[in-house]
Amino acid sequence: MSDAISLAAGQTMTSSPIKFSAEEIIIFAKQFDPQPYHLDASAAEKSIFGGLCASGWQVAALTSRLVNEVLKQACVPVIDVDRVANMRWQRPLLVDESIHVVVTIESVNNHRTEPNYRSLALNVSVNNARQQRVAEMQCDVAIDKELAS
Amino acid sequence: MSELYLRSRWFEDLPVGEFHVFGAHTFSELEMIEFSQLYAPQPEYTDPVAARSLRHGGLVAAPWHVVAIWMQMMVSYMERYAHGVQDGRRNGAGVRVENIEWLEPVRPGHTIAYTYEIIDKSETIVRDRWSIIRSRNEAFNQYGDKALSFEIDILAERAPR
Repeated sequence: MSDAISLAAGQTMTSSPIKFSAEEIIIFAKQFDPQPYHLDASAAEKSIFGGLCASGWQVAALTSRLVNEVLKQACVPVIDVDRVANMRWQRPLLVDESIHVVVTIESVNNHRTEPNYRSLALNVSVNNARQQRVAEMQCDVAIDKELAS
Repeated sequence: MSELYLRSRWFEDLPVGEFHVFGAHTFSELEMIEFSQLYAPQPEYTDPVAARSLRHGGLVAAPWHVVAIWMQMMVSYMERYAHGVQDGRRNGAGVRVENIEWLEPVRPGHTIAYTYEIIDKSETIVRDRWSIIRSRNEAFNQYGDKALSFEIDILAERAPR
């Protein structure tokens, strides 16, 4: 490939945080994941999670948002997530907690189906403010080949 | 749709190989934009005009929106068959998802049908009364093209002994 990409495996980036209010957790849950532990504090206390917590899919969506933001800040012409090899939810994200992502580039590859793009394999650690891991994600994101130099 | 089961089911009642088409959803431009403004604010998902010159040649649903609707359909499906369960459900919390692939763009007006198949069960007991069920989940558009695919491990409550 003649288009050099100034990205290397092992490179690490840390995003800014996003905080989850009770209102935001409930708005997402009402629409997409209406289960008691995402909707109602007293029901949530009796649940497996022990308190009102965000839907894992809200965490996933906002993880991808943070990944895109931190890559853009590093001048990587990111398009979006294309594939998630693995995501594990390890700890509930409770009301008023925040997450940030620590992104490590695992490899830089040609895109599997679209020749105009390349693909970054990323390891993403989703941490709360106390640096406890909330979730972990291995994913591929598409990047614009023209702009990656 | 007729009722498929006479009773709420425990982990032990859920067989490997069970397959259902558990819901279908037609995506509107408005809901796609509303989702993306909050969770995926990129012009290919929020701006129908700008999206024309971007990756898919028009507005598409954000990847996690297609998955969020899977969850919405799945909760509704689980509630329908959780007969007699006090809090309305016996299956729930996901612990791990693998191999999520978004294979076709979802555009305004597309109707996506969601399917799942139980592909594995683990007898390992988690927190006294739960075990893990693995399912393969797929979603197809109105042309029959697969738009989404993944496997997920969720906790299912074991029958009391």
